[in-house]
Amino acid sequence: MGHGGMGVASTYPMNSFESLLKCYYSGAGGTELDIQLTKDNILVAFHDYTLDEKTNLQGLVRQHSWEQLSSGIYKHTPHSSYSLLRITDLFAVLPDNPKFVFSFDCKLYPNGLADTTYQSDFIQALLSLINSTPSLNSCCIESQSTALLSTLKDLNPSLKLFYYPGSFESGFELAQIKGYTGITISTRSITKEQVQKAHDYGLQVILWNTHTKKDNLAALEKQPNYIQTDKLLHIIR
Amino acid sequence: MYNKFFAGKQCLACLLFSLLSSYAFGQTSKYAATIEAGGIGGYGSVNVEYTLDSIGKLALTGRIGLSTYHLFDFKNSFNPDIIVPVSIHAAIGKRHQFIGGVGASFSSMPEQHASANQLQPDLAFHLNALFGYRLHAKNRNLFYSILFTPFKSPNHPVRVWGAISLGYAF
Repeated sequence: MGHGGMGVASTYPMNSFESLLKCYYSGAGGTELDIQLTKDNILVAFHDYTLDEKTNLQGLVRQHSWEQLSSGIYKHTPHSSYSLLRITDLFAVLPDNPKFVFSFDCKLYPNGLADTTYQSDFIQALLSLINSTPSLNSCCIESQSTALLSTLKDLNPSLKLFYYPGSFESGFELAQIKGYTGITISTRSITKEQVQKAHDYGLQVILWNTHTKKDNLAALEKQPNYIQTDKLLHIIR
Repeated sequence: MYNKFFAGKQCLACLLFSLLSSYAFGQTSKYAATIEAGGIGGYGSVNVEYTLDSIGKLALTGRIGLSTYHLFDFKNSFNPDIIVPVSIHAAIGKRHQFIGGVGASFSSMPEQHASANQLQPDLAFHLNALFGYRLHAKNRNLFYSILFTPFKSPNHPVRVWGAISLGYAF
């Protein structure tokens, strides 16, 4: 899987339209992408807590409507003007391909304590996207929030839900108790034996934090279900 | 025929005199080619320079180059990004030169437009400045530069940028 498309080192910004399309047309098996919710409940692809460092906009995604964010441009590559991506626009362009797996990393950044409907709005937007997009029948959903994952599980038990733990032990135990599909964890925080243990108990494993060819090979050695990599072309070859 | 003969000889004499004068007074060659990392071409560029005029240790030089980020677009079709940096700078000094100038770059970069649901080139015009130091090697053909090259793109703040380059004068 790609990491936000073509990864952190690509000349296309992570989670941009161009990076995700490049990942798709490079022959990858899928991609992870970070999703956040706007003020008007539109899902956009963006990683950071605020827009300031990576774009020409300021503040949280949740503080802006999509109309405001649509003028947002990544500062990433000189001369470029790659824009922020509305998730529905991606699926309007991509052909239906159930074999290409999308993994949504849910970045939950509400606009303060007063934003009490944030989680329910997020869930509604995500389920609406999944239900209206045939390509997302086998998508993965990743989150550090057990509240989000458990609510999604109650609403749609067929969803593939991955818990994002701080350590393998805590993630392994909680994923079993809650009945999630698996865990998503840094390749540096899990051993080959622990991946095997997760598989033995019916849990899938997504590994990330692979930035180099050496990281790719080490992650492959552990035999996870998915690897989210910044060196996508290497792993495809 | 007599006038043409002497006119030809006069041209040849002028040419020889100017070449010898350049060597005698230590003037650099008119043309140069450079390979630059960073700079106003973005991540790098190849450039050609031409000395427009020079008086003593002061020279005015124009430069045009070519750069790219991708030869193939995100749908794996041959569709290169094209960046053409153009600049003019003044250089003071002979072997050790201090450089200051301004320029612009023109870019055409394929981007995916959601509203049009298609891949379109994004055309833009960027402004830049350049300040730095250039050292001419003792053999007088090779030179090395280190430059501060801030540039301004549409809808972006000024980007702090720099360059190092290797050049060959001919």
